[in-house]
Amino acid sequence: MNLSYRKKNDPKRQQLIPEAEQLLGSELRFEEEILLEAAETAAEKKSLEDLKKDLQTAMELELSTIPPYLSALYSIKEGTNLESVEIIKSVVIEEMLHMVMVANLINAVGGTPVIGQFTPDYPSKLPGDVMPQLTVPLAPFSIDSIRTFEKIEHPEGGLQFLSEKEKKKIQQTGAEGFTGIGEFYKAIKDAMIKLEEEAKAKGETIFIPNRNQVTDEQYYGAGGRIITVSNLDDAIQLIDEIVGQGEGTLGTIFSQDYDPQDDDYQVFGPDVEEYAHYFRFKEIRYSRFYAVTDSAHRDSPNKGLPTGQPFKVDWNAIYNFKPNPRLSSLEKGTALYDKSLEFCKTYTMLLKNINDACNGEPDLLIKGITLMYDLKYKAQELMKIPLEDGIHTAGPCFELVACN
Amino acid sequence: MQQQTHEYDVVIVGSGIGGSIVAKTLTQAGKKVLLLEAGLEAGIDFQKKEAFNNYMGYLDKFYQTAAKVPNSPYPNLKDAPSPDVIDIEAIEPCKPATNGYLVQAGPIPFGSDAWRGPGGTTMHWLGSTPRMLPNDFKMKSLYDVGVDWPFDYDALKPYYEMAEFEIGVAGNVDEQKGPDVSKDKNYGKDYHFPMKKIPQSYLDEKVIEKFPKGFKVHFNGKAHDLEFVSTPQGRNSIPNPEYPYSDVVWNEDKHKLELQSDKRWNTFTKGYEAVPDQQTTKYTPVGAVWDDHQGHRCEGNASCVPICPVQAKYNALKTLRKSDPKLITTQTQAVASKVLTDESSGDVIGIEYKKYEDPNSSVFETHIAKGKVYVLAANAIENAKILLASGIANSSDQVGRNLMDHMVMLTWGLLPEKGFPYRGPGSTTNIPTMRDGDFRKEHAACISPIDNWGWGWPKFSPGSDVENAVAAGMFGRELKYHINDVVPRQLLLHFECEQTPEPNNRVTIDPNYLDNLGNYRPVIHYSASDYMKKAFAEYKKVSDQIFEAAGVEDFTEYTTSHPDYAEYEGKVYNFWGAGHIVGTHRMGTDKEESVVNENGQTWDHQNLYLVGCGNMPTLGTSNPTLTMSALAFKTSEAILNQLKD
Amino acid sequence: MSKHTPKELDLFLNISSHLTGFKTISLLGTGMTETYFNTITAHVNPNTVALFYEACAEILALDGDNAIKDAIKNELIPDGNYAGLGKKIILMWYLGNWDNDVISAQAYTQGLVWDAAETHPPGAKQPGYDSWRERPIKVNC
Repeated sequence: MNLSYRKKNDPKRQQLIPEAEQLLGSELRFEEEILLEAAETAAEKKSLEDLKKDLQTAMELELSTIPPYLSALYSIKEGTNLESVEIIKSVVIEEMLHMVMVANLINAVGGTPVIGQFTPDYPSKLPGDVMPQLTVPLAPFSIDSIRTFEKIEHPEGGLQFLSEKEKKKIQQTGAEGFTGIGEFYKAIKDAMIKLEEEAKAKGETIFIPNRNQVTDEQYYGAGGRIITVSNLDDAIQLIDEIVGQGEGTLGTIFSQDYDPQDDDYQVFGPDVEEYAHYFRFKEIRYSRFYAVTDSAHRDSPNKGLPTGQPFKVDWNAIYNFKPNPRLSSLEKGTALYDKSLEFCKTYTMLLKNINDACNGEPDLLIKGITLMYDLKYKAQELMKIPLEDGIHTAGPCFELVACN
Repeated sequence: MQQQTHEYDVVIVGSGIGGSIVAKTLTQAGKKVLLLEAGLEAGIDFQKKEAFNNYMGYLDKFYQTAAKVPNSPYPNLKDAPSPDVIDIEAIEPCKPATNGYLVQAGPIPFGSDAWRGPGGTTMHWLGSTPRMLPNDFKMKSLYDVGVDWPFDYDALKPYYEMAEFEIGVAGNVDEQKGPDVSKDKNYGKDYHFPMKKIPQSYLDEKVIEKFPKGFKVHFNGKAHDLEFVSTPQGRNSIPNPEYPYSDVVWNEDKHKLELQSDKRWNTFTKGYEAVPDQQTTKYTPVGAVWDDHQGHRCEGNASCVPICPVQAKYNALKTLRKSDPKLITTQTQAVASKVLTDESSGDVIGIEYKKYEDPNSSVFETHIAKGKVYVLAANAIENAKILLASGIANSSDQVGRNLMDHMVMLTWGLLPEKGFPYRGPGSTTNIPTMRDGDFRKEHAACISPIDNWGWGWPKFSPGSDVENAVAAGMFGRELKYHINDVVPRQLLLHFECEQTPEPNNRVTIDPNYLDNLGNYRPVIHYSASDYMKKAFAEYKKVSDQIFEAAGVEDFTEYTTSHPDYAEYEGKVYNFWGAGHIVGTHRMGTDKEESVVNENGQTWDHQNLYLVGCGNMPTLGTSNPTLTMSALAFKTSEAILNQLKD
Repeated sequence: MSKHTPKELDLFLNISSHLTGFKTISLLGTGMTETYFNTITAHVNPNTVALFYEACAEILALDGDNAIKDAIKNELIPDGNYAGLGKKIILMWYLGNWDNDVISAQAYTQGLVWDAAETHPPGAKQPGYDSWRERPIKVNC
């Protein structure tokens, strides 16, 4: 979360959209749903190897969000939903940035990031026991998809304001896992700080400077610069940047009481360079941008919802691809199978390319972007091919295939 | 008539690159500016959503227009019409061609267009930014052609550096070579461009590899080394960590504009900020006006002319957006019609402009803009037109004269193997061999870019290739294979010949030709001299030698039905306008021979400055935008010093 | 195409494949099939269109690609037949134009000419930084 550019207080902050009140009921149920889906474990990670493993999971976590986001993004008909396209696109670009930054961190602590050996089999749970109740599908752009994306990006710390009864309910179900991606990263950060302290005590460090780092020479156009890691300060900055952009460190919007004098939650507006993905998806669902005067707090006059400039969201202007496309559901040798296989090959090649780029050949990432674009055009082509059922179109299967 | 009650420090006409550089520089230095722009309000709105929607509207219009000429994405308004290449037609003797905005009196039509709207013609420029050569500033003394500039290359050098910062030039200094080019002399041994070079195309590589080192071409009776260099250009690439500067800032104590490394303008906070120490590169690519994270690299849209969809290519809106919003007032849909002067002192006392609501209605209100200093930055044709309409600044009788352009002779053929054109920026490599030499006494010099976009310019390929094949009865796989065989082998070379200043190539006005608001339409008189025609003949021979050595099958075809044709020694040549509208109010040391002094200040009116390519006494072989931008910084500095007094 | 597809749309798609040299799945992948089919309906005399599709049905029923090719050449390509519809369909798919007018923004960006020429429509489907330094991308994995 970058607050440096935000605008100061505005007397018109109390303006509300008329729909906000009536939407509020469903919004509260929605928050509750997310929280009940979540459960808490305090993961006590000790060794450097454990940290590397967790970071590998973190990278897979970032990667897992990309196919669902891309599927929704590419299903939007060209020339329509321009604002939604821009919002989802900016989120995906940042997720990829996160993935590469985590790879930088893995390299910095002497690990080997592995990309392209694993991809979720959608519909899938998120890796690393993050929000174990949440199943993420590959589906077209819709209110449901956007709600799922909000859940993925939900700010951390939600459990703190659950009632005792609700907490008990979760404990009884025996669910384990992290309440959100933010909490997952917090555990990593804590472990990392601890490990570095232990190493420092012995006159050592867990960090290797300038090891296989991808820099902004290779990665560009994301909200924020890519961070390279040579020491603990860099590493903390990197994790804060990821958590800030993704789910926001605004967990307190749910745990602290709303104070109308405090403008800490006024974090929006056209001059704010970027704000958490969770809120960006909310903008799509309410087809309005956040106004400069809006607060992120759910007890604020705007109930934490966007009340700014409206924009058009046309939920029907989509290619209605059949959710969760799979290669195995297609008949081998058909033209559609061949086209789908070609997509999978491109996806496999792309991950291989990113893997190599994050393992000492950073310049390869430049070509990776060419592959990214190619992947997009292939996905869009598939989504235009009608299926026999007369309702759906074909869609991209994000699967890894043999590469020879 | 309504009198403007506001008083500004400076009134600027035009939001193209010239006007935008002046507006940005002056407001950042604390001056109050009024900017008049003839085009629509929507094009200058910098709010994220509005800017994005407007630009996507341009892009959509580009997609939907059949003839994708440079002006095609942009609105052409009856109240502020733009010259458009689509209007060019052959001129019958003694009968001006009036099809379009320009009145073409001939004998041949002026072949270039411009756009009158927010951002000006940089919205559709290609983006090539080679500097002029030192010898270009001394054409009269060295070659007895044209005139000398009022200063030499070294005087402009610091301003070139500012222009390269502002535009964001990507290039490799070490690779710049050719006649009259050496790194030390032209750039300084430690100089770098802000960004690394734009990669040269696969097509460039396929052409270059055909020529062994030391290969010579013959023209004007002599052998010359054929060389290829990467073209510096105003599109985003990888920031160069060696580049030290973060912004151009006015130093009040030294009375100078300076490139420096400590602070930079922040378009979010609208103020200067310190550059963080840990930042490895001082230069950050400037992204799209609606989203600074977009367009940090050229993405290979291959549509720079007419529109870069991601704004990775520089346009003047990027500079205008850096103006201090507290100090700039913008009036759009405001067409400057007349400069008013005080008869006794000669000082300018206001600029009359016509404000319209509906761009196609002839209803308007007249206003007068008032300031201490006035700047016309409306492009070379419009500046001349406004001065002539006002009857001012013309004691030299040079206003409107010496209209110049690069006369571009194109040659095209098929490579023996696929070079895969229609990809990447319009041009990434040029041949500098013909840019300077003794031959300039006898015929024009030229720069010769390799075009990355096949035969698109002269032949409307690849659409015409499909149409011709289908007309000939091809269909099915035969058609597909034919297109696949021919189009990827297309090669196009430009020979962009430096036109010399001729007093009778000129912009005039005539009360018989008025536009929708009753403003004058420019009347253009234009011809090609023998100095140009001889160059065509020599360079066609150069093209023949290049094609032969590279195994390129020549498909070049010149006809007398092409509106811009020339005959020389019994042969016909065709040429095209480069969009480089230059001359018309040249600078000089002598008020009898020039309109403005070395700072762009008119000799006749101490508080009137002219900005733009109209100031250039000669054209050189460089695309003129960079040089014009350098001059605009020089003028900005002069204005700041004048306002101090 | 699905079983819900009208017969004439199916004929249009299949004859388009023979006229353009592109597989039907590639034509479907442009998303333009129905738009182009409707463009014909909107611009051409209904009797001519009906006769054209009748001819297409007969031609497509022929045995073997060569027979189909010969029949197309003699029946659909000559300018005088079916108001020149055969050639117009090719130009529509390749260029996105009908009588020199761009049918829509999508029609321009989906033109087959760009694929045939191993490139992309200028201003759309950009391939990314540095792509032009190498041959067009080919997935070989």
